Amino acid sequence: MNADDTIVAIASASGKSARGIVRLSGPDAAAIVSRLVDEPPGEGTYVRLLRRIKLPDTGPFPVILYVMRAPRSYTREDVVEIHAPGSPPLLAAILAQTLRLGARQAEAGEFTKRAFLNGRIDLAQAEAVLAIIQSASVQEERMALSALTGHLGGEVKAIRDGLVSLAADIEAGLDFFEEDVTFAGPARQAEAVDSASRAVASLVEESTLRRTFREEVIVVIYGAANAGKSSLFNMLAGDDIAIVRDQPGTTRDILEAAAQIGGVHFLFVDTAGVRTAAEVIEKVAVERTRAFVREAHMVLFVVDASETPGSDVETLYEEMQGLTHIVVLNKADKGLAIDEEGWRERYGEGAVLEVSSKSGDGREALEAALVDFVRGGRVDMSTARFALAERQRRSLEEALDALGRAAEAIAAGAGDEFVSLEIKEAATCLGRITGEDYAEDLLDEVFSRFCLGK
Amino acid sequence: MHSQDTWDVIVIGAGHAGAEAAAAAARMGARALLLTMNLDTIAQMSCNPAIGGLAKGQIVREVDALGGIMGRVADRTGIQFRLLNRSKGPAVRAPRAQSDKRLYQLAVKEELEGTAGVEIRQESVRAIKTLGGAVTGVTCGGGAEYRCRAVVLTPGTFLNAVLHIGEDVTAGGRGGEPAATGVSENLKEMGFCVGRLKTGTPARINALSIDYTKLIEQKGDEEPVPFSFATDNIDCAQVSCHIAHTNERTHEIIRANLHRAPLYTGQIKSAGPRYCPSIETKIIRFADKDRHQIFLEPEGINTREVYVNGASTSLPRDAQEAMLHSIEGLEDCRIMRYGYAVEYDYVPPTEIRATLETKRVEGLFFAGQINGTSGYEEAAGQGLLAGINAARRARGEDGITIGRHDAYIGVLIDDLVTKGIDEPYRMFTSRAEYRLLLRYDNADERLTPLGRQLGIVSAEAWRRFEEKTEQKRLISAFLSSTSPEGLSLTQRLKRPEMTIDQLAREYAELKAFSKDALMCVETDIKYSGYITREEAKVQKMRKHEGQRFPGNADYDALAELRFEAREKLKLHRPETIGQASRIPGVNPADISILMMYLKKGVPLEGRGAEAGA
Repeated sequence: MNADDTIVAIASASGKSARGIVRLSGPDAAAIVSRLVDEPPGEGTYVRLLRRIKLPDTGPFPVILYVMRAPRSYTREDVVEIHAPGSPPLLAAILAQTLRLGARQAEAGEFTKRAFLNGRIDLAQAEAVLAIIQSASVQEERMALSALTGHLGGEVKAIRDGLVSLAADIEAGLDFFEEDVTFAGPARQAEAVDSASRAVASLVEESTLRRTFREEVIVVIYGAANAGKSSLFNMLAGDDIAIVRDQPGTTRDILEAAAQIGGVHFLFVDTAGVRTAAEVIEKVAVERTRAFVREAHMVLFVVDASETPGSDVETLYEEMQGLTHIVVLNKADKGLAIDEEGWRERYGEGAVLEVSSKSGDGREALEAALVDFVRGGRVDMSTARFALAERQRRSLEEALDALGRAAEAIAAGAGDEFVSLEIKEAATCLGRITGEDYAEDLLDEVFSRFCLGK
Repeated sequence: MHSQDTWDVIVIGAGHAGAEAAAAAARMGARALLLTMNLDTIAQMSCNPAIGGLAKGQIVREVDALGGIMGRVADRTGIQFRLLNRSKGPAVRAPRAQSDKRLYQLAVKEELEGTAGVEIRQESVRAIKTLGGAVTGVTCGGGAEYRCRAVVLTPGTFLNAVLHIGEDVTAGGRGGEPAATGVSENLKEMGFCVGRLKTGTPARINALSIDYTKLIEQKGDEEPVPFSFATDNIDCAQVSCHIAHTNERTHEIIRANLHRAPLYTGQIKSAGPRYCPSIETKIIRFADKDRHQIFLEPEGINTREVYVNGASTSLPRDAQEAMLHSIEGLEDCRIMRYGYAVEYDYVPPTEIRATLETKRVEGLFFAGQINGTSGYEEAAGQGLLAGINAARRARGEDGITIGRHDAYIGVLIDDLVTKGIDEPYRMFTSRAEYRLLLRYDNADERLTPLGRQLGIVSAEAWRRFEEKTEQKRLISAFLSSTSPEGLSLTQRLKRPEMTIDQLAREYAELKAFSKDALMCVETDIKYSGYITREEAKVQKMRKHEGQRFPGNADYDALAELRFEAREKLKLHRPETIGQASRIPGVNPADISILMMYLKKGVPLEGRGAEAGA
């Protein structure tokens, strides 16, 4: 069985590496790459070609193409690999171009899945693929619920709800034309489509969104109350602070700041607020903070080192198990009750640094350590987190296209069934981000808003 | 008695589903026995006296394209025809007709009586007999037994049915008719889950007591558009309907009587249709509306009975009187039959396959309201498919299915089996994701070749179809090859303001063709961009439809599935990957997992138990 679409993914490990790989598999792999490079790859198989790639925001630069034609490839489909310098933003830009040209972001394990379905690999390997799909599915579900993407989800949901409501209006007008009810006319349609378009466009534009799309290293600052997390956050955000925004209208009180250190984009997330939150919401807030910690690329675990760590600190520290983290012994200015060596003796080997967020001592060492973690490949950037973000953007762009066609259809007086088709398509694209399906919602909308039926 | 005789197919119930089922089975070459509690109520319209409507009119055409009865009979007995949404595009237009209720019944009865291979008999079936999980026959009241290879059960609203008029509660499947007892218990014994639904009707009043001068007249189309591809002319005399409105006083009367309304006293607990709310529900749920439309529809040419559409109710008799008398034009109206609500048993459609055969019992098929649907047309579409597949089962063949991209009938059945229902299901055009492909004008193009292949389309219908196909080919060729001023007529037709009628006035060559063929070509050209897009989506979907998945998969052994997906899959037991992908709560990752297992080998239920024994 051969798939009819072409999938793409960044195939190289992220972080610092000399060479990055973008891999495509499927019937259009070669055709898509042809449109990206100065000279098409031709008909040959098992060839290595030097080409220059064209991207919107950069001049042409050299890449190496590896072309493996079906069935002599890993997936038994046409496979093309683009080998480029291992810069994450560059690879992301190449990936984005292939998506625009009709490739689809590969699901976790999908190359291997295709290899298996096409009879390329054996049963034992299939187990591994199942495990990958399962974990990706769980991870995506968690991502959809997670605080980090939560604000995007909320805004997308609001736009989508508006579109479903509009589509319901239009559909009701088609299916229940005989009723004594006024449904959406062209003016209301145009207005609603226009406002949805602008909202989606601004989501695509919005810098916070670009942040999740860019290969940004998300660093969550975590620790017991009064460990000095906020002052550490302020220290790191420093003069480079790009955005500090609190999230209005939510119970969480999260501060984020983007900073570029040593050529790496970081996003620092301060969870301090949740600790000082009112008793009632404490439990919810703690859960949410934990979600942040799990989603983060890495964690700065902050300890008030002017006192000997108590059981509360130890309990929290257990959560660091299996997570990429640096221990920050804060309040060095007050005199240390436990130092780097003492910490390692008690809690084992790991990255530990003494810092005074008050005086700024230790800041440079901490920044160097952060950059080292990324450059040294100790931060796992190849997770579904990035893939999801790219997919989200693609969905937003598709929704925007559909809304554009809807606006044209309204202006041309094409007929409500066509306007509705485009609006439903836009809602479907947005539903991919929020995990909702339009069909059922639509009739629920119709029957809850209008009194229909003879 | 009759013990030596084995029928291919027995159809239980002769409503809109049963009639099509028996006729289709016979057209398939089966010997079909149609059993009904009452020969005088064959194809009775229990609710409003009309056939068709949006999405429903498309279904009637689909039934007709497969050689069914409904369209032809509706054409013969229709007393007011309207093409709905005439001002809108062809994908959302649909024919509807007011029918002469009595003539309709008689015409269906006559049709069945004259169909070779169909026997009709008045019997009350009490139980379906099975052996080893397969149907063997039926037992009737009085002890009569009939043997058969397949059964199509179409009981409508009759299973353990109860009628409500205010506090008055009586057993009955339709006003003045008894309920069917025994069959539900029989189904439960076989292991079927049985649920309960509700629907209702309004009062019928005497036309001579209506002051029509106070009402708005609604005429039919001057040029009626028939349902059947075989109908050339509509011969019946045509009549008008009339529109009245409720008012604040009507609403007050209803509110004052709510404590006696079975829907609000807890006397009725089952779910009714949201799209066809009772008048009580309308004024409660939409309290801000100061009036509601009422359509007065004549029940026939030879009767003065008028159906008060839009005022379905189960209020007590005196409240019904008071309510109707408060309406302008109905001040002196005389009620001939009171409105009532009916509660009846149904079987959740997760019990059936897309062939309409039950998953539990081989050779047992369900069609119509037993599957949780409402509507004559929805029933007819299911009956037709059930009849085809019962006949196939009788000769040992697998059933056929109709896809979502093929027909509204396909959308209907797929929705039932993949989503289940929580209220009586009615078709809307918005349920069809390929609406632009499922038009009333191309139902023959979509289904007649299939009908021909199955052998259920008459020679005459096939000849007409071929003629239309040839005409369409000639029209398309003419349009694309005629290019005055360098622009082909095809291109000109794509402009929004241009129509095929206008071209037909300019070019004498087009005059020879039928209106139907011209319209089909016009639609295909005007919407080619959209049609191509929908067809591309269909292509994608088809791949999954073709991948069968075992119904007895042991989902508990598919460890990688998420909890929610596993529970939904266990409930619905999809038969294809396509069905699985449409079950709410099953996401693309879950589908990937199913596909991996399909390749790897799906663990089947019962294996573990056998090993342990």
